[in-house]
Amino acid sequence: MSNALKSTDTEYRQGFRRLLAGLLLALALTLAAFSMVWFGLAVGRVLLISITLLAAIQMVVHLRFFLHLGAGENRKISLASGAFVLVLLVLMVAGTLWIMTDLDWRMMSAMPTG
Amino acid sequence: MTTTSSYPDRGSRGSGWTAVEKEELERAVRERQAGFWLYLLSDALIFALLFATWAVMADRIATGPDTRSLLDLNKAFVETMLLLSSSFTFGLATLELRADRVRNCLLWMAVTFLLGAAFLGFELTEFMGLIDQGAGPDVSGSLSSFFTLVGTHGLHVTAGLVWLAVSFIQLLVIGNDIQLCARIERLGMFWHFLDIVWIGIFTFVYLWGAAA
Repeated sequence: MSNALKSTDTEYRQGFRRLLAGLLLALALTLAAFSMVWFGLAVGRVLLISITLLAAIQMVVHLRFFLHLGAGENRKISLASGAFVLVLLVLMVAGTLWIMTDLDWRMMSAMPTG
Repeated sequence: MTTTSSYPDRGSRGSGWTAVEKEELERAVRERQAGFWLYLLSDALIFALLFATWAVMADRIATGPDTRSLLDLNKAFVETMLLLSSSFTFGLATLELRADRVRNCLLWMAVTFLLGAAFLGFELTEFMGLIDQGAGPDVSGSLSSFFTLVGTHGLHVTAGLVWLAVSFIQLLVIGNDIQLCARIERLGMFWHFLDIVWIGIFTFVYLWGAAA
């Protein structure tokens, strides 16, 4: 009985440490992104790319530390399906942006204003 | 197939799972985790397309106001903090449940609910404020896509809060049942997923909007 209790305790402590690490990383990344805009640490393209990168890293942190992606019995199917959806996601979003900006350029540039 | 087992008397015991129970819990979690993950991925596709729509429509303001200039970055920061801390407290709730400490789990679930409700309150105030300023979803394509994207996330949070309340009552009444414990872990996945979607919203809507 005391053995079972002990293992529960270690499990809790490990889980807590992982959760806390996730929280601290997420906080640091969020604060970095917001302060870049608040204090104007960068401008234009550099700023947009930096905050996008920070968001991408934070999403990975959340997946890893909060959703435990890549751990446990189901990690193979989770990672494989995740990679597949990521491909779909890039195709759909990039495709939408490509087609719509092209359409915009073709239709609006030829149109007289007003 | 699901092996249903109930331990109606173990709710108030809180002295930890036996080895057999623990094995059964692992199996209950494993059985439906992958399926629930597939649902989350399909939900992620919905949000990805709403993000793409926002990217296309953000500048299409017709005769309406500039959507980005109406957004309040400080409010978005507070919402971000509320949702992030609620993700952390839900993580604590699932850890306590795993350790079979029902009382602590209930406490963290209640804290998570309050944080989530506060987030929703901030969001609704922002929506009402925009509509009062004459910047409702019917004014321009830009505002339509803004309300659709952020509103869909808000609806998900609302559904999560309902699920959270139901689970809270079930845990209170039934106690720490294996199937219920596995269900609450899936709710945790859902809740963490919503926080990931919010990272996209505060970055691509609020931060990009303020940077532009």
